[in-house]
Amino acid sequence: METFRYSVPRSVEEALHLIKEEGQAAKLLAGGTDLLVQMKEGLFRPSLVVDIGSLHQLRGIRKEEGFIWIGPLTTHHDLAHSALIQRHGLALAQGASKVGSPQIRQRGTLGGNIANASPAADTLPPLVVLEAEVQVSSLTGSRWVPVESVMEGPSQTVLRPEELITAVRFPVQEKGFRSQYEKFGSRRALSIAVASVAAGAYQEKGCVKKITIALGSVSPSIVRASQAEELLTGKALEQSLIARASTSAGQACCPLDDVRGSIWYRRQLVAALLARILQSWMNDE
Amino acid sequence: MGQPVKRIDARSKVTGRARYVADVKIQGMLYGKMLFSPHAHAHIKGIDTSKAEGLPGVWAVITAQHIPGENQIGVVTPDQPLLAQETVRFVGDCVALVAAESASVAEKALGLIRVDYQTLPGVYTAQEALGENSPLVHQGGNLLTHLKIRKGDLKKGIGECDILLEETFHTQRQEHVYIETIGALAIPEGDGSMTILGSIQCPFYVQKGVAHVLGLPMNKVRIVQATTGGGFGGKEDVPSEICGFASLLAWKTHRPVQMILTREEDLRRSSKRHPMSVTYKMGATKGGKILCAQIEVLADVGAYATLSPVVMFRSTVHATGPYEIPHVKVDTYGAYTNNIPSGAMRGFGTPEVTFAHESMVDELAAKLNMDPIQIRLINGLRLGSQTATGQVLRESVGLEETIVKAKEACDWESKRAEDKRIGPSRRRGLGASAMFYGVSLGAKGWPLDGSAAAVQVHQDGSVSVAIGGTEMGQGAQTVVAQMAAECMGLSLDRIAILATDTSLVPDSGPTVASRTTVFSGNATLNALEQIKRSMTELASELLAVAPEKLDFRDGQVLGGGKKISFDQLVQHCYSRNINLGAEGWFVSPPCSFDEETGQGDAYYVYGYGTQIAEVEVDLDTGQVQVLRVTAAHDVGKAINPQGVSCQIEGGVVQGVGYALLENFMMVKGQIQTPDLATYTIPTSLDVPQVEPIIVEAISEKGPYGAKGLGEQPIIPTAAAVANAIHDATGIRITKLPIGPEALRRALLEERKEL
Repeated sequence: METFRYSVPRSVEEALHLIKEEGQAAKLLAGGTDLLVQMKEGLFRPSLVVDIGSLHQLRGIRKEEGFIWIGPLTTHHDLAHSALIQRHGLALAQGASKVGSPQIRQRGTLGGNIANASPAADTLPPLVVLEAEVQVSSLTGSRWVPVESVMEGPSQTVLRPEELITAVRFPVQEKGFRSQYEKFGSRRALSIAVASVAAGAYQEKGCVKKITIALGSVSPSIVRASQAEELLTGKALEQSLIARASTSAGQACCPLDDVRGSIWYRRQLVAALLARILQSWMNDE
Repeated sequence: MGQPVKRIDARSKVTGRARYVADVKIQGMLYGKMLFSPHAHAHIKGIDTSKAEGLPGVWAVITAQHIPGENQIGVVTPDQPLLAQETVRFVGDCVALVAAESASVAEKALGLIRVDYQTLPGVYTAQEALGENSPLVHQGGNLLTHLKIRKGDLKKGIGECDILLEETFHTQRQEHVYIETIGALAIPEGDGSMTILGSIQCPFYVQKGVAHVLGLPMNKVRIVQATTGGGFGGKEDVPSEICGFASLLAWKTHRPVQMILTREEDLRRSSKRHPMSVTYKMGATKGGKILCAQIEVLADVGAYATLSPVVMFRSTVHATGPYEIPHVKVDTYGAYTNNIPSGAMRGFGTPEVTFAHESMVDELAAKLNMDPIQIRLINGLRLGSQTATGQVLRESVGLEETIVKAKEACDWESKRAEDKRIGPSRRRGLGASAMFYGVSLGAKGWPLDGSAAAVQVHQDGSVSVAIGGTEMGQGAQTVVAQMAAECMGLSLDRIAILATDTSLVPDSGPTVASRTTVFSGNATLNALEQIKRSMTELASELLAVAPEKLDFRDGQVLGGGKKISFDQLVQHCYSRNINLGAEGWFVSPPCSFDEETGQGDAYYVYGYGTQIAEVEVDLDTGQVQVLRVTAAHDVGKAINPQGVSCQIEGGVVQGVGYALLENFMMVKGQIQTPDLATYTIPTSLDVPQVEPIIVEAISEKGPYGAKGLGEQPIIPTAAAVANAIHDATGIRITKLPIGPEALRRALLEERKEL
């Protein structure tokens, strides 16, 4: 690893000053589970590493003003175990519980997972179906960006070098809403998703009023299965509908062909994972 | 002895006190790095190291031309330059070495070396390599080995069969993934000699290799094994290369040089299990008696021979599996390619053919509507059976007992009869697999098959044992200490096993082939018996009891109603200048193998085993979860039953990885799985419940009746899993690993209703 300067800001403002001055050559360090590996591999050679890990005001989960607010430094472990998240955004708790290993879940943060922008990130499809937004701040102010629009491609986001994620929130949905996340990896832990599916839906008397389906690891960024969403909206869940919607979701993505799986197989997986979610909802009715 | 004991090295390892080579830092030490070839096959037109040499902190840059001795490190066949000189033959070939004051400076220096390559066409599969007009990896041609077995009359056998099946199987490259990567510390001594501390399996190989490369006599090269974190065959010959690199840099700089491979470097340089294509024709009578087997094995040797000639010997001898088959024809071929060298890995050419013959035996059973256990019992080797090499088995054949015990322990009959469906898209299945495995080096390695031990009884009655076999995690030190304690009638804590050091014991051959319990054990007993003779003589005099009546037990020497404590007797010995040091030696019983017919006593004794796997298959994704493996292994006398159980568990886990997950992939000679994020092994959550069953068919030649065990447990696992998948789904997969994508595809193709 190359040498670099290292600083530990005591406030968000100080952190923003530091990254503003350093520009592109600065890197923010939260849990470090992605950044340190990337630095060791020489993918990043920052001149300054800004360690925001001690900014405790950026950590925590609370329910306020009709939203669930999550500090970006909240770890995957804390998300997975939070009663609030389990109640209002189960898919996110499930996604966080499937990140890496216990050690990585203790270090890795939600903000880091968003900013790292991996198509295989386990929290991103859940955040999309929960209609989550991130608050992005700089010295000149802050803006809210839907999670769905944050990622532009692998390791590509709309975040500018002088910006920092300062909050994540998603609306507390009305009664009848449920969400679920399913991931397929080659093994049961320490596994990068070959494909993943999150779905969030309102159901009323067995009928799907509204549904959002987000697919991970099958496109350069997280994609929605819009056609499947349309197929399902306004209908009651039953076998043939589930089969049609799942197949359609499989066709919706344009996956990568890599060591982990072929295009054909990833489409098979998307269909199988979505069917698994819908099946369990149908059985619950 | 024979009781489960805690390993003598457990505490130091779990507390972090054990000293691995990377933990050792000495004054003035430099760091070594190697420059890999980016090409799988290329001609080296020139190397410019001037910029790297000019970098502050760099002490030496070495290329092939600087080597003082012979630039040759091949362990069996002299086909491998230590540093590539004119040609690079795979992407792990190294063209230059750097020693610098830090690893990062050394790394930077590598980036400043300019190598001018002219790429050459390569060959990337064994089939390709043996094609007409294929590019040559070595001048002598791409066929490295061809071994044969001719037994009985194949034509006659085929004619007498009621059923004849044919199938081709494919196995993949597997990496060892020992927990500690290979590392070495070379220390140039004042007298011109070289001492090397390293993470190594076979110190005597390293001694010979380094002496050769440095142009030193062997008495000027001393190898000390540091605590070693796993080997599995991966540290058999490759450490000679890494120790060679470190010692070249130390020779050049006159400073100690440490070289610890990163995981990525280790994956790129170290040998792997052979990818093989195996074609079987196997026939049987209606009653399930197997009459003939025609087997052809084609292995991808990679760029250098390393241990392939001996690996292929094992594939040949074990090709028919643990069955008595009257008519056999086996041909095994190993071909050079521009891939990473295939070499030694736990099982050494046997898991590959076992996957094939155990799948075949199950297919025969299915076609004959016969229970898979039954067909194995009908054909399995027993006392008096003749193997494919015509060897008559005269002792220690525990196969049948392993089959019966495994079957009973897993509740075979009722589980096989159960409904396979456990949900709309989930199926369960049960599969069996049996194996045998020659202990130690056999006919092909007989000249290396002697081992030494040097023992001292100190003045206080404590005992040190230096053995030529190494401890690499397999538990060798504990079993040798147990045997020494038993022999001397002492408690285990009175015995210390020394780190393996070429200056303490004569060349004891390699620590491989499941041979250490038997060979280091017997050599130790041989040394102790000499000491006991001297001690008995004196005790007889002191106690006035005939020597043959005296016994060493419970820290005493006793007999004829009299006794003296062991420690007192030792003091008497010292006061009379009686030598209580001795060297022991043990040589393999004779073995033979006729190159033309493949007939002979290939190995002096065999281990046997049967495993039964229970799996659950997700039909939607093709994913397989191995739920339980019942593993019965005949190990002769189990010196440390707890160690035996642990070896069985570890072997099964590595076998599950081989069956389902692990695949070191190369495309056109380039590595596709360069790290442990892409080369995936089972995690603790992927591991099945393992039920080890120990069977003890005593071997008269082993110490206390022991045979070897280290490798056996990985051998049958993949086939047991494949057979269980077949039981669950009706799908026969012939290619390893059985990844979910391949299984899903097969399910869709073969079962249209899905």
